[in-house]
Amino acid sequence: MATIPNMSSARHARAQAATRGDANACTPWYERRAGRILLFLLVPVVVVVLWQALVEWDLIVNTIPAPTEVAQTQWHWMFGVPKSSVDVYAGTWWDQLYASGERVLLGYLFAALIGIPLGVLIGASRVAYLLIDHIIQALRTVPAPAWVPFTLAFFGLSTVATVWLIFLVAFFPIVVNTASGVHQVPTVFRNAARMLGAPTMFVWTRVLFPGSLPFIFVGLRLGVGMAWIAVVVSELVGVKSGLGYSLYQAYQFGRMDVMIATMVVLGVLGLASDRAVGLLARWMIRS
Amino acid sequence: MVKSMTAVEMMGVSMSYAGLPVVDDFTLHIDKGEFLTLVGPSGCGKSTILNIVAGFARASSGVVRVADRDVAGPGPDRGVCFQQAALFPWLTLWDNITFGPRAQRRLDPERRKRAAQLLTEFGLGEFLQHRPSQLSGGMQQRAAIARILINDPAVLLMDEPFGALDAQTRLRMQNFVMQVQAEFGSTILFITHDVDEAIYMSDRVLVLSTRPARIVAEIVIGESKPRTPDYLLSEQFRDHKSRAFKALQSSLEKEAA
Repeated sequence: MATIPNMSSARHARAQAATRGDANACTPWYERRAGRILLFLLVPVVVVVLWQALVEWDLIVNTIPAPTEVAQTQWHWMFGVPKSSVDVYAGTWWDQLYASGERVLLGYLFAALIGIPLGVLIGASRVAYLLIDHIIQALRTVPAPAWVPFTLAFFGLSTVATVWLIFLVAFFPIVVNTASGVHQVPTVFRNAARMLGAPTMFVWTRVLFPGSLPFIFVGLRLGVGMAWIAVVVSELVGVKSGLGYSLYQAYQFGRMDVMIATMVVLGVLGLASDRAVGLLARWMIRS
Repeated sequence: MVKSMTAVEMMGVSMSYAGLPVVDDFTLHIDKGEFLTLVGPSGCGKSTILNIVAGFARASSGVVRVADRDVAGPGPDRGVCFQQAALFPWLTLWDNITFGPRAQRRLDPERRKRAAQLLTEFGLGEFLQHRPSQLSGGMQQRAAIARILINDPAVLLMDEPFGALDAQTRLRMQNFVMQVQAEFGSTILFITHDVDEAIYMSDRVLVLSTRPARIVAEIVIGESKPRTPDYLLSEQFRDHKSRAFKALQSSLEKEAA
């Protein structure tokens, strides 16, 4: 291979990689590991530092605790040993996380297990579409809080009520996106499967389902966010455990530090579950 | 019953779309092992004829039979090659090729062996775990032919399969399909708007008019196979080509009149 003289070896390697179409060697700084971590952390760190400064210099109402206080509270809540019987925020965080997490997981799993097959059905079968689609379109516009009174009246203040509410809010984005995913699977794939001898069920499970996975995952990502909203809403208004209940309790006790800690935790959990669904998508969609 | 020599039979087939007759009283007959090409102006209904044989479209009247059985919906006895390879992008090459037998719950060791043989023969043996997007256009079309052949179809239906390929690849694919036909004794119904392609590959060419499709010329290509690109420069080829063009021309003039 011809080499170009007077070219540094790094530049040379990059030029060669460029002709090969190898993106790796030409990666801009913001796509490299360090760059991405920097961009990821920049805004949160700036906000926390500013916030700490505002509190330290008394430039903000004194009901707002400093980030360091919030962190201490969170630490104590997670790993603290109770010094007295009234210290409800010592080591009890995991129970709340477990209560909320279990509900989210259950409701979300039901939503996916029912929403995806139903979405494929609506997308694949004209009869199913004409039978069900308008009902789903009507129900999905009812906002989550509007379901709360009915849900509590029907199920009482129970875990079942929470799971039902989470199921409801996660179900609609999943089913709607799955159905439109199936719609966009090119007809030629359906025809190819049929002429190769695939029975209807096989076409649905092996062609329409995998062909609509990118759309299904859009639904799953929207759904997981909705699920966290729903769990907090139902715990705020009634159910006596979980992170939403902690939020309500902290308000009653006037514990601003606990409120802020819980909000941050909810944000982190939402982000983490969205990334988890994203990773699952990357693993499942390989083409 | 005597086994017939007929692979495909269409008699008095009509179909209209949105009130317009696309196919009107169409009759066609393909012998076993014959390579028949329908050539005609775009939109003349030649793809619709293929879709009716494939079972994707339903004729409003007439008889359509393949291997002495009435056509009712698509099936593995009629393998279709589309304009794009239409391999499933989420499956590996191997899973694409064995899709038919797997869908019919007939993927036994013998069929696996045949699939492996086919792939090696088609020069795809090293790419079993590749995704279709990692293969060239020509390789994709060869894979699309392989996934049909594994089903042992009574007829191969090819709907302008090389339209999206570059000129060199197209010529290579034309030779490849003729080779496959010679080796497997396949019956082929081929659709194209390229008169050269039609004459080069076929045993018989039917020139169709504008919609509704009618046969305006039948050209029997006597040239023996295998054919080489030299045939494209021969006297006979030019004669066939001028006949086909005259037939196309007169049908277009009739429409204008």
